Amino acid sequence: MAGRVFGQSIPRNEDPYLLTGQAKFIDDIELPGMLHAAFYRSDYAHARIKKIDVSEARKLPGVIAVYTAEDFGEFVRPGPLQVPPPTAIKGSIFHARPLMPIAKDKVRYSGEPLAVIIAENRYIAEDAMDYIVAELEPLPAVTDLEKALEPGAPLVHEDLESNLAALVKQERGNYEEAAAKADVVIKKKIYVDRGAGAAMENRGLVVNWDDRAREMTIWATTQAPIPLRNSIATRLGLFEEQVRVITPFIGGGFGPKIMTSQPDDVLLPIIAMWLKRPIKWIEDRRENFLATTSERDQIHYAEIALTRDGIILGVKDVFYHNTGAYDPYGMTVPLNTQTHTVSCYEVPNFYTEIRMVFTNEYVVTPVRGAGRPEGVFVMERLLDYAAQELGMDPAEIRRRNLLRKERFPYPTGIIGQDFVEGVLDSGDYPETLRRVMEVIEYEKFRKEIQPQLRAQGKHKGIGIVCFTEGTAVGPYEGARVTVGANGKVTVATGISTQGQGHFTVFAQIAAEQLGVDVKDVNVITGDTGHFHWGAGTFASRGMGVAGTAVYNAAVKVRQKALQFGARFLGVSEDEVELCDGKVCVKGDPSRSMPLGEIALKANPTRGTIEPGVEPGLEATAYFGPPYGATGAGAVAMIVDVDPETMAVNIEKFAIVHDCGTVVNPLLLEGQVMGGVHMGIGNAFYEKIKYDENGQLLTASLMDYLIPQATDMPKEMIVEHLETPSPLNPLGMKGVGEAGAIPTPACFMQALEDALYEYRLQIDETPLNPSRLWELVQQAPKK
Amino acid sequence: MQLEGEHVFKGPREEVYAMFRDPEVLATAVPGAQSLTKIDDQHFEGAMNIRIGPVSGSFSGKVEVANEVYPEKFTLIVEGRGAPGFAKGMGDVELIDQGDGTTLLKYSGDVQIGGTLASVGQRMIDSVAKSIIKTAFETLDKALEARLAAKAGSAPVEFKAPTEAEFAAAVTKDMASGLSKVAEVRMLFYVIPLIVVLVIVAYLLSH
Amino acid sequence: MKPIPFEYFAPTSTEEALEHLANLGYNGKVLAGGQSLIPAMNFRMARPGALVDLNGIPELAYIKPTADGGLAIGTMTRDSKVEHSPEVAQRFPLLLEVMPNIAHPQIRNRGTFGGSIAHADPAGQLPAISIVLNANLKVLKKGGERWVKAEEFFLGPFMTVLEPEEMLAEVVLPGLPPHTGSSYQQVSRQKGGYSLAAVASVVTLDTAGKCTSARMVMISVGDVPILSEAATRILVGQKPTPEAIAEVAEIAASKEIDPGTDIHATAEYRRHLVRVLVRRSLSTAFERAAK
Repeated sequence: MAGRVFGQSIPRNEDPYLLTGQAKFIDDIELPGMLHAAFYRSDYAHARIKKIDVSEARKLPGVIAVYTAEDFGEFVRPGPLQVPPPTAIKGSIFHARPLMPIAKDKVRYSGEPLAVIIAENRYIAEDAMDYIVAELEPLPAVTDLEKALEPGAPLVHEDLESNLAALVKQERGNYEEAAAKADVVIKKKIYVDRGAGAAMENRGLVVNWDDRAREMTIWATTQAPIPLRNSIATRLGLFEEQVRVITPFIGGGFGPKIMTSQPDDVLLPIIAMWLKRPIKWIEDRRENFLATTSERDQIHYAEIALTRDGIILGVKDVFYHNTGAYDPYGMTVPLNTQTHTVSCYEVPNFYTEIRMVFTNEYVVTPVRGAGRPEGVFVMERLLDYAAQELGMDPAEIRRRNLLRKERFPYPTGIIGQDFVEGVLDSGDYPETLRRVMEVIEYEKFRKEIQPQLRAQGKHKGIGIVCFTEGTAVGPYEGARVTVGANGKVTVATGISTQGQGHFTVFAQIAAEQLGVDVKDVNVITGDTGHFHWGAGTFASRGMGVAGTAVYNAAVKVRQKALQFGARFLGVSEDEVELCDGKVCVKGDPSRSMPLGEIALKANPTRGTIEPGVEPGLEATAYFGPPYGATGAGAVAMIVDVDPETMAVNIEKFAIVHDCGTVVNPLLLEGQVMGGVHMGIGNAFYEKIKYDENGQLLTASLMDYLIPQATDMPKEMIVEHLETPSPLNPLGMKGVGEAGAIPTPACFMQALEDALYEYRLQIDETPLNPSRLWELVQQAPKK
Repeated sequence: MQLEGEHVFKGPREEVYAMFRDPEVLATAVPGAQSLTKIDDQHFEGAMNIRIGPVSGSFSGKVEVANEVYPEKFTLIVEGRGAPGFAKGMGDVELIDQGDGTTLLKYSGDVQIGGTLASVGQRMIDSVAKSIIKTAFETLDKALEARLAAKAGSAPVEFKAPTEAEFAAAVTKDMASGLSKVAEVRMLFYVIPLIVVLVIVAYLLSH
Repeated sequence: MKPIPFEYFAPTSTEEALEHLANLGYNGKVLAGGQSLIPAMNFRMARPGALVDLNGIPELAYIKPTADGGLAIGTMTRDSKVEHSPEVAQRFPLLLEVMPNIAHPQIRNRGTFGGSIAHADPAGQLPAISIVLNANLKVLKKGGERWVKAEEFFLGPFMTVLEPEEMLAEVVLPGLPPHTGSSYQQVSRQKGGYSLAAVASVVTLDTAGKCTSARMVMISVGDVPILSEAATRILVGQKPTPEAIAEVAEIAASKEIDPGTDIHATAEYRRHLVRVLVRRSLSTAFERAAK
């Protein structure tokens, strides 16, 4: 469906600003009289607060104020929940324990704020921390998901009977019956461990309360400016319109920046109102690891039942999910795990159970993938164990079980994060598998190359996995498209941007409809002063949902332009068309009127207008899908393992991905590669590690290792398959998280293949060379 | 982290025990100690300035002795808190008479480290802990030697408690040059973020 | 992550720098490249009351050939200068092999040769290289100078024989005799990241092919770089054989090192790596010496 600009690889509108250092990020915001905030945080993960003495800290020159929970009084209370409980799922149990903005009486995670310091600059604020004396009585901490549910375990929330935060069971068909009839049943305990968003830019907030105008302006690195504005306004007893949230350029979101009602956005606005001075808070890297959310961290007891021909009869998965000390984001992550465990396969019987557990670690909320990688990891590992057991090729066992094209739309019988039954809307899964095998030359590698290498003692392995990606979920987004007097176009939408390229792709959509240059479309995102209805940037929904709203609005403006243009040119509507930023008479381009002039004429300052007609060349439109569109794909990689040192080199990586209609192939490739990069991190590098006392051991980039550009595969092939989604007019599906979802599973399969003589059954991610060596030491050699 | 090991002291068990009861030796064995106050026979408190290489920090420490069986064994519970974080350790110490005039000290314990120290110092902790333990025992060896020599009536070996400045200055180890001198054994200590090790020593000294 | 308040001095001559260091004592710290010190200060783990910045003293940065075929390298010579120096490439190919593994080009543009050595990080490469190349280190203080052999310079993790008023001024690498080969082997999780274990070897053969010198140092497996005594004892005086090399590897791995377990690797794995890397490093070094 490529057009003049839609579907083209157009370089980004925003790049000249970003690359020349002109783009404004949160720490560039300077306001007269601005003060700086710092949080004094608990070292202990679980403790009772006896006393916090800030009197000495208050005396330090340059310190303006120091606040503890007492100083906020009733203002400090938990919550609210950012995502509602899963009442749509029958029989579900959910204990809502939203985040506390500052610790009161009890500390539940290491890094929980105990005091807020406001000073002339951040240096002095940190100096003041040395003067705070906190008397904390440490309590035993819970960190092990299974031990946390044993009777007698220390309770994170003492008003509950146990640390069980939620219990959700879903089933389609009947697994036990299916398993009874199976030739093979494989059971495995599988671990997916924790990783961070680790955006290049940490979080930040600047609050300015104009006491005389009674208006608050907030700059925030948020993926959800509108919910943030609404929650702040409500909490302060202000009209929503009195609060404006603006997102500057943001250096990466990846999920954690969707959170609202966190210590900073709860406490700093009220402090700004008290002190009547602007306040800035910029998170440092250690705080980001300690007190910004991260994700993964599940233990699965998974089973698969198959016939001896490798046909899946059923899958069962009972899993523990760590929500951390609080559960403000509801069940989003584990629900995604549930919907993605059956993924792209024909699985007639599926039982899945979430046991969500409170622990003394920080909160788990979506990080790129948001629960999907865990589900896919479990499914792909089960298929690999089954393939080993049955002596089948891993690609073949997948081919036999993939859902065929004819099955769409395919109701999954499993309710997802949007609280409706997940329906796979469209796709061609077998084709993605076939094509990725072609691209990586699977047959040739297996039959010719690998045997020769093995004879030489080399350990190269190949992995192939399939996956789906639920995207573009509701509820809705909106957009307003306006043609200005200068003939250029403004697009405003409620979601914000963290580097995905919205300033370009939304411009492409509008430009395609209005016949203007992509460079002449100014896109405004994440400013509640410009657009104030919407939910936010998450679940890879920017393109599918907000993009569709932009399209719908642009179509309306186009119609209006033709309608008005025809009238102003004195012809009928079917005689005009758009050409180069003008409305022209078909066949007679000399009779035309530039869009800017039409816009001006459509907004008279005198005279009358026709009833029912809205002024200007502008339209607002909304879009909300009945359920999310599902992208899918297959990935393959070839790894080379040094069998002595366990150093792993990914030589070649291929992904064939279907995200429906492609808007900008250049940007798409960047998104996919970025996701793959994170997936490689989740496979072999990145691990948020807490010790048994809830102490975070990886709070710097020295210890939380991110693969660098120099660690990425030398050869990466990204291909697209386009099966347009029937859920929106342009047929778009999301793609932001695609690369991160299947990569760890593919990596493990490739490692098992490389170290074939050990017949490994890798049941955890991430690994590292030391752990891989341990697994090899423990394996009986073939 | 787990800490365990052993060390042979060149002296009888009772002397080793007695040495540790000497308050002066107690003070010297706690590097960076500004003050070490005895609350009662089982409890001690003190402030410590610690430095190792470029890293430094101030901690306030609490020590408790438990499960004493003279002259065989006891358990030490140590806790230190400061801006860089906290350390809490529990160690079982056993003194075994080897029958040849020497005493084998065995220790096994568990240390919990938290705060900034734990979250950004993981790469350092293991090697620093080992280095400190090594130094601590070398210090105690000298202390024991000094006491035994004094008791035997040979030329007085002055075991001088390091001054505060010397503690603060304890970055470099001058053992090589100091060891062979008879007149004065100058002690320079490594300062340690891991109080527990020091405290283990402190406990031994508390009796 | 902001440091505590500190005083800042920017001397323009070595004398001036030494004067400051003498006055500041334990309160002062030398600032060279800052690539290790500044992060430690930002974490507030390092709290010097004053910094003496050597970056304004050009006379401290140089690479000078010495009469015996070696090099004298001024302490403030940037790592990247060493990496791209033709004299270094010619006289000490080991350095050329090591430098690209030290973090990244941007870090190497600021980090200094002497600074890395004085910092004495157990996982750092340059302290180990200074030992394996038998370097002599010139240490200055106000009114005095002394020389310390690299082998005796390192006392513990991040600890050297430098007194607070002293600074490392120069690293002199003695020339290597003909038929000398070297090899650096490391395993790290990221390219340029801290190594899980690393080995550097420098070996010399006589004209009959017998080994006359075998210096091998192991990194990240102890609180200081560990110079192998077994390598010298077993290899010197005979022709190098795979069996002898394997014996050295086994002794080094089981007896000479004291690796720790941390979140990145277990002690057992590090021992295993040493076994493998010692073998690879010595074999490659001997191959190169024989050419």
